[in-house]
Amino acid sequence: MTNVFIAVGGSGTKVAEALVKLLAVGFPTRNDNGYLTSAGDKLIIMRVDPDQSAGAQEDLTECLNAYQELQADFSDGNKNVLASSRWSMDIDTRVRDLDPTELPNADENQMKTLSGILDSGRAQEKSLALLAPFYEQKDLNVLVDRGFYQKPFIGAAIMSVFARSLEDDSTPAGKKAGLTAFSNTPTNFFLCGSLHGGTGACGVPVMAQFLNRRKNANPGWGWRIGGCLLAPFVKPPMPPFSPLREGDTIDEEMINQLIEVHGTSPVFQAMSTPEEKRELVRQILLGFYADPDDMEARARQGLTFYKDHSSDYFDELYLVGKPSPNQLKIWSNGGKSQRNPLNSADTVAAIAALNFFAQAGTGNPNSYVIGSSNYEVPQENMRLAHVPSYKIGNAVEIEAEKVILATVLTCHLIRHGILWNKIHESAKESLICAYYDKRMGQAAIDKGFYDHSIGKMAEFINGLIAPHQEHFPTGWSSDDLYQIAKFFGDENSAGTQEIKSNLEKKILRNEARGINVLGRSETKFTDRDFGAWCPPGDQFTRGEYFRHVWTQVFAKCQTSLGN
Amino acid sequence: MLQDILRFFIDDIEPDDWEKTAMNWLITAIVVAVLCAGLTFAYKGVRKATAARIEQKIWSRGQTWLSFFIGLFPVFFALLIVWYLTRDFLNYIQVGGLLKGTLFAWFLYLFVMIFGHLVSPWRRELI
Repeated sequence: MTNVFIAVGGSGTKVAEALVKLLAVGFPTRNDNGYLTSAGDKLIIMRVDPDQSAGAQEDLTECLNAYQELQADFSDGNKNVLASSRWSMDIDTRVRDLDPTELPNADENQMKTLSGILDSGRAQEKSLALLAPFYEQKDLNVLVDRGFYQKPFIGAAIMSVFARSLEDDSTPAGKKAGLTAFSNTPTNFFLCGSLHGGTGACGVPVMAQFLNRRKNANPGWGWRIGGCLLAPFVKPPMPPFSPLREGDTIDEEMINQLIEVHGTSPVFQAMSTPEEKRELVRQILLGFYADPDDMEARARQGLTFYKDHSSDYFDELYLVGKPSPNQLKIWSNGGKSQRNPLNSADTVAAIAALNFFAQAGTGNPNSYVIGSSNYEVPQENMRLAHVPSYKIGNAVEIEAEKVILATVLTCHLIRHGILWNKIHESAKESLICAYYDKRMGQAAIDKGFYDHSIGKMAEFINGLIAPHQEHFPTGWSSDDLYQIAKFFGDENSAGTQEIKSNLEKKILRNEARGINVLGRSETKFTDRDFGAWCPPGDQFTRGEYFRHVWTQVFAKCQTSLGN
Repeated sequence: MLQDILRFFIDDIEPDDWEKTAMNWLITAIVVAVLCAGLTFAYKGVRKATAARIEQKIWSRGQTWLSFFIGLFPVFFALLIVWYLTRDFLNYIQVGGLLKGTLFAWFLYLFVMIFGHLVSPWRRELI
């Protein structure tokens, strides 16, 4: 199945990053003859954002590079553009960056402002004259190359022009999106953006409407459209200085003075040219920034809009947020300086995407489902056990904590459970050793790739659930990561020895001595059981073996009855 | 032929029935070698069966040869005890016969151990 994740704005891009990380650490999307896996499916990431130098985009690119390395380790060792292996989903590592302000006829569209775009040849009939009365002059003239500053009424007009340009494969966006390639191909489109922001709030409904029209015009193509809206889950701080009062005007001296006073703040230091700094001062003075006090009201308005106009575009629509948002410490107005850590809400939104890709079919078209729990989920100390579960094919329940436990234990087993220095001697006790025993030299090569991939896996998990800190608000508790660390220990570390001891067999009984635990999930089996796990057939890849062991471990994971 | 072989294991051939004594000594060496080999196999089997971890179950080539080497001592001590407690062995087999018998028992013991490993699933721990 082809899956297309359309990240709209910075929030959507962070969710794309979380999704890639979830896939990297083993979250499955389908049941392939008993194997729970995502391998065999394909993911294409599109990013709709006028801010082409966003920090979130750099984070996503780094994450995709790491995914490419991981997939190379699990396949032929080569880093390919289509990161593919039998471990997890194939991902096209070229993010299709769609800039809504990049329209055809560039000569007419050099001004990246609302007025510039409405007056370009692309906007039908040069619509500025018609639409200008709905906007103030400052709205028409503000540069929108860093997003829409949480003002969806600016972005909506630009997005509409942009969506129209997608219909034509010869336009810059149409060429990059390449939607013609999805004609006649069953595809899951998943749109994600913020409900209260600028780019996300206007981009998600416009893009959904565009896709929905095409879907309805071609019912035989098998398209599905899903979406996730991010309600406020982080709260930005106030800008370094206050905006102008109504009626006040900006003068150059005021701008110079403000740059002098606030020039040392991180947001100004991240800018290279004086003109960028002047533009930022103007934006703040005119109120073009995310006002934390308005977020809730904007989210409420956004929801009302979806209820009245947009929810029908989606086969499934998810809403993720936090009752009390985590407080961000560093203020930014887009661009490279806006580098927020991955939040637990981003991960939950990515789980929603997996639920959609797995065709779980939550609820029915005429109802909605409200996620609930019988305990309070801590906003700044979430644990993996708090992450909503999803289903594969409406049958197998996938819980984040069990997936991670299976992954980290598989990493331990492959590093320490295979007797890499006694392959020949242990060929009778372990099927994978018997496999290597027949292939001279292969074990040493594979061990190198496994060691590298396990290092990458640890990085992915660390990035996914990094503990919450005051200046790094992720919303995650440090408890899970603390427990996970022992699974990645060296041979002689206490953690490794403890896990090995848990995998030991009781004397004269084929029962494990202990249980390996992560949060409320636990698993019990012996290293002899591990020795019997090997994919059938004489030829399999590293990714296939890793997934095979993972599937066996996952099947043995259960929720602890004691807690 | 048999007499020549038996002669090799005995120092004093003055008594009329020296062949019987030599034969008894040879049988003793064979029994001790086979018994010790069996005990070494049993020890290894028990260690493997009760190993808590799979890595404890796997014996390296070095460990295997070490176990063979350690098994040589019981062979020697068992023969020494039997030799010392049996008057005929002490009087007629004497020290030369003891050393030759021990050497023979060691070879036999090693042969049984190596052959036993080669025909068993433990061959991977030897070759």
